[in-house]
Amino acid sequence: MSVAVAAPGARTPTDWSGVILKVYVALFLGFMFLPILLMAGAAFNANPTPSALDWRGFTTDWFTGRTDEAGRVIVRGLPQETRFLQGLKHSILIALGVIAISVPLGLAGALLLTRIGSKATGPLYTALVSPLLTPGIVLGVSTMIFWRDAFGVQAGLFTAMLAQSCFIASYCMLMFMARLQRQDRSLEEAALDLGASGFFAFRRVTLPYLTPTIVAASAIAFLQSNENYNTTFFAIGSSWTLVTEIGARMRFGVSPTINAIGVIFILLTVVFAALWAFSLRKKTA
Amino acid sequence: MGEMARFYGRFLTGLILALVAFWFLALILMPQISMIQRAFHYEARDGAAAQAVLEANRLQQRVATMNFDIRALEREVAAGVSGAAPAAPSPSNPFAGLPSPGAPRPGLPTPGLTPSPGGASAEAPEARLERLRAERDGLTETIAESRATAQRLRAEEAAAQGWSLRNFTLMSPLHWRIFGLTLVYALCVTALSFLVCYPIAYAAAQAKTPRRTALLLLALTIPYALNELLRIFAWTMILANQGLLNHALDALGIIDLSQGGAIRWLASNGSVFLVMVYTYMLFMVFPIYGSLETLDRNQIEAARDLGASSWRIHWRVALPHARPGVAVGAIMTFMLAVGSLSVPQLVGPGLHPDWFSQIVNRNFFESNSWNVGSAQALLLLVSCTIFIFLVMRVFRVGIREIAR
Amino acid sequence: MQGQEVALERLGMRFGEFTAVEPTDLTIKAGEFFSILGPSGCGKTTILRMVSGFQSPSEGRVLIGGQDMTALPPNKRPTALIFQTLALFPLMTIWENVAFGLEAQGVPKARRRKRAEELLDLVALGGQEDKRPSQLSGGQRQRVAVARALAVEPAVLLLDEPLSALDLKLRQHMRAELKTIQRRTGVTFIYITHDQGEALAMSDRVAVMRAGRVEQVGPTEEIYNRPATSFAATFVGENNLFRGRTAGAEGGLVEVETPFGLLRGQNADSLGSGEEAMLFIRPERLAPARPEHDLRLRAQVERADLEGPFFNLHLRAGDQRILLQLPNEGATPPEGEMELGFSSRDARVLRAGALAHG
Repeated sequence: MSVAVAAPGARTPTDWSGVILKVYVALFLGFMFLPILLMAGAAFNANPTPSALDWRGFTTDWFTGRTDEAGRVIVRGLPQETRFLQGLKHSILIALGVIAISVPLGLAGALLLTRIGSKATGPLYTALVSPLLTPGIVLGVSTMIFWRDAFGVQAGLFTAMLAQSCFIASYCMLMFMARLQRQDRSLEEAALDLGASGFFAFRRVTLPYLTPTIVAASAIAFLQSNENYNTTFFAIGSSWTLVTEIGARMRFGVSPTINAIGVIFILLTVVFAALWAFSLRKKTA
Repeated sequence: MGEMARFYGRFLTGLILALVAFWFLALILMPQISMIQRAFHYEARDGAAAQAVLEANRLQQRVATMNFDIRALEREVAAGVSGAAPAAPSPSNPFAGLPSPGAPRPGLPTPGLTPSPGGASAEAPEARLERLRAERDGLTETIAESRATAQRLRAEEAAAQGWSLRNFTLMSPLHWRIFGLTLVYALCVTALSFLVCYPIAYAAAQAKTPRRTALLLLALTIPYALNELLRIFAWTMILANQGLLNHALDALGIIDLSQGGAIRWLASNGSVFLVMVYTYMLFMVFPIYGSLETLDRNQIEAARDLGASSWRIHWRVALPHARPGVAVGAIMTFMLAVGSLSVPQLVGPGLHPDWFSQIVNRNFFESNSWNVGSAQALLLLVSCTIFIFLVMRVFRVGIREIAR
Repeated sequence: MQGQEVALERLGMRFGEFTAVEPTDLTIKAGEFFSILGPSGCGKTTILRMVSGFQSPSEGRVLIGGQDMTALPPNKRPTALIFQTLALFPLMTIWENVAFGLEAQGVPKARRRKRAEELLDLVALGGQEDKRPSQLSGGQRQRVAVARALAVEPAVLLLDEPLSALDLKLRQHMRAELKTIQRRTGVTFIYITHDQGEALAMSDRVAVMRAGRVEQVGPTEEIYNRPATSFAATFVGENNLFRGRTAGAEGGLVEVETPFGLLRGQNADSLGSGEEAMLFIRPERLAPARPEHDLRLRAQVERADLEGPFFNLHLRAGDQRILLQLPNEGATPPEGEMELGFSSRDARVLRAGALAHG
C-alpha cells in the first residue's frame, strides 16, 4: 500500500504482465487458426491421406473429382461423394424445419415470459432454458425414445429436427427476450388504446420491432442445426446429415474430400462475415 | 395470464400458450419422461427363461422328427416290408422335421429318392421302433420339465421387470468406473478451459481500443462458424502419427520418425482434453468476457496505483467481478464435455480410455439395450444437474444469470 | 367529436396488501379540462389506467357518458391516452402514426392520409407527414401524439404527464397549446400531473390526491385560495405554516395559540378549542405591517431573492421560517428586523395533518 508508487514520475518500469498477456494472445491466435489453415491446405494436396506436410502436388481433384474419357472414376471428389451431397440436402431440410419450429416457439416463450408479470415465470423460465443446460446426447436419446415408444415413429430426419428444435428454441427465446425487454411497453398499449385489436397491435407494432431479431434467430438456428452432431447422431437413426456423415467418414476412412468441405465452409463464412460487416457499415453510414 | 389475454386478445394468447405447451410437453418433458421410464424398467434379454424356452423348442423339434420316423417305421412294420430302403429320413438329419422342398413331407413318402443313411438299416425295424418310442417319451418329459422351468423363470423375470433399479445395479463395475472417470475428465476439461480462456477474455474485455476487442472476438468466432466436426478433424490431422506435431518433433531431433519413433498422441486422453478445450472454448470465453466487460478499467488502474501486483489485481478485483461469467462458462463447458460424443469418438477412437458417452452409444446402437442406455444417459443428466446446483451455490449466482 | 362525462363510482385498486387507490367517487363533466394533481406514487396514474382500461379495478365502476366501461378492454373504450413517453411508433412515418387508429378500424388508405393531414394541420405540423418520429423535436413529437389521439375521435382524452420531458419554455408554450386544442375540440381532458403550476394554469377543475385518496376537488381558484387540507395547502403553491392549538372560535374565525402569540384565521374545519391546528398564510398576503392588519409578527430578514416582478423575502423568527412576497416597486428590499402583518381573513386554519414536504 505504498502511496509513493502512485506518485507521478515514478512510472512502473516495464509492464511485464502486459507483455506476457500479449505473447499469450499471439500464441492463442496461432492455436485457433493453425489447425484450420492446415486443414485447408490438405484439401489441395494430391496425397489421398489428408496431410498438409506430406506434399504430393497441388490438385483440385478433391473438389471436382476426376474421371477418364470412359467416365470411370479415377479420383473420388465431391461430385462422386453422393452421401455427402445427400447429407447436405438432409442438413438443409432439417435446418429449415428447425427454423420453422424453433423461431415461433422461442418467440411464444419470450412473449409469455416477458408479458405475464406473475410469479410462475421463474420455474417456467427454468424449464424453457433447461435444454441448453442438458447434454446434447440426452436430448437426442430422449427424443428418439419418446417418438418411438409413444407414436411408433422411427428415428430419422423428423426426430432429428425435433431434438434440435428443443434446444435451439431456447436460444431463440433468449434472443427474443433480450429484445422484448428493451421494448417500450407503452407502444403496444398505445396501439390498443387507439382501438387496435391485440392481434393487430402485435402484427403492426411488435412484429416489425422484432423483425431484426427474427432474422438473427433464424440465422443462429440454421447454423446451430447444421453444426450439431451429438444430438443429431442419436436422433437421426439410420439416416444421416452432412455432419454425421463427416463423422462416419472420420471413423471409417478419411479422405481429403472432408478437407474440401472444410474449405467451402471457410469460404462461405468469410463471404457471409464480409456481407454482414458491409451491411453494418452501410447502416451506420 | 388474464392480463395477457386482455392485452393480446384470446386468439393470440391461446396461440402463444399452445406453442409453449407444445414445446414444453412434446419436446422437453415427455421425451425426458420416456427416457426415465426406460431407465427404470429392466428388460431381460438372453436371460435364463429365454434359454430354457429355446432349449424346449429345440427338443420339441427333435420329438417332431422322431414322430415322423416312428410313423414311417410303423407303416413299414405294418406293411411287413423288411430290408427295403427306409422311406423316412434319419433323426440325425436336423432338417428332417421341417417341411422343406428338399425333404419328404409327412404322408407323402417318396420311396427310392432319399438316400439311405448308413447305420440305420442294420437294426431290425421293430427294435428300432421300440428304442425310438422310449427315447421320445423321455424327451417329452424333459420338454415338460424345461417348459415348467421356463415358466417359473419367466414369472421371476416378470416380477423383476417393471419398475426397478436393476439397470443401475446390474451395470458392470467397469462401466461405473468409466462413468466416474468421465466426470473427472469433464472437470479437468472445464478447469483447463478456464485456464486457457480467462486471459483471452480478459485481454478482449480490457483491450485498449474497441477495435482491438472486436478483432479478438472475431478471431474467436471465425473458427466457430466452421463445423464442430471440422474443428475436431483439423486437430486429428495435427495429432496423427504422421501429423504436424510429430513432424515438428522430428525436425527438432527429439524423435526420429523414420525409425518409427512416432508418438501416438491420439492414443492419450490428453489429446481428447486438448481437442475438447479447443472445440468448446467459445462457451467459456464469451461468458467471462461478458462479465469482465462491465468491469470499470479505473478499478484496475486504481488497484495498480495502490501498488497491487498483477496477480493480486486478478485475484482481488478482476476474478471476483468475473464470477457470474466463470460460473456460466464452467456449467456450459462441463455439460458439453461430459456429454460429448464427437470428441472421444472421433479423436483416436478406441485408442484412449473410453468416455461414458461412448458406452451410451454402444448400448443404443451396438447391443441394442435401450433401457440400459437410457439409465446411463440419465446418469449424465443427473450429474450435470448436480454440477449446475453446485456451481450456483459456490459462485452464488441465480438461474437468470446462467442463461444469457 | 363531443366530450363525455366520466364518473368513477367507489373506484379502488389494491395490489395485495398495498392500496394504490382507495375507493373514490369522482365526476368529471363533459368537455371539461380536469387535472389530477399529486406527488408521484399517489395513485393518479393508477386511476388513469383504470379509466383507459389497462388496469381492471379491484372494486367500483368506471362510467363514460353514463355507460359502464369497467369490463371493457382499452380498445373498446372511447378514450385515448397520451403517454408520458408519448409512445410514438418509431418505425412508422408521422402520418402513419396519426392514422394508426383509423388503420385499425379498416379505413381505406386515401381517407386515412387525408384525415392525418387535417389533424397535423390542427396541431400546426402540416408538411411533416412523411418524416419519422426521430426526426422531430420534442415539442413536435408532443403534438403528433395529440393528433394521433384525436384521430380516433375520443370522447375523453387522457394525458399522463405528457409535458414532463420538455424544457421549461416549451412546457409553458405547450400548456397554452393544449388548452386551445381542448377548447376547439370540446373533448373531455383528464390531465395527470405532479406540477401544480401546470394544473392551475390549464384546468377548469383539479383533484388533489395524496396516498391513494382524493383530498380536495374543485375549481382552480378554490384549490389555491381555499385549500381543504394541510396537504393541499402546502402542495399547491407556497404557504407559511404556523402550528399551534386552537384557543377559541367565533364568527367563522378561530384563534390559534402559537409560539408567536395568539394568531387568527378562517375556521375552515370548524375546529373547537384545544385542538391541534395549522394556520396557513400565503406569502403574497403577508406584508410589512400596515394599519389594516389585525395580526402582527416580528422577524429577521435573512435573504431577499429578486424574482422579477417581486422579491422573495426569507425571514426567520426563532425556529420559524417565513416567506414573504414583496412587490418590486423600485426600492431596495428591507434588511434587519422588521414587523410583518396580515389580515385574519386571509389566513386559513386547518386541522393538523400531513404536509406536502416533510
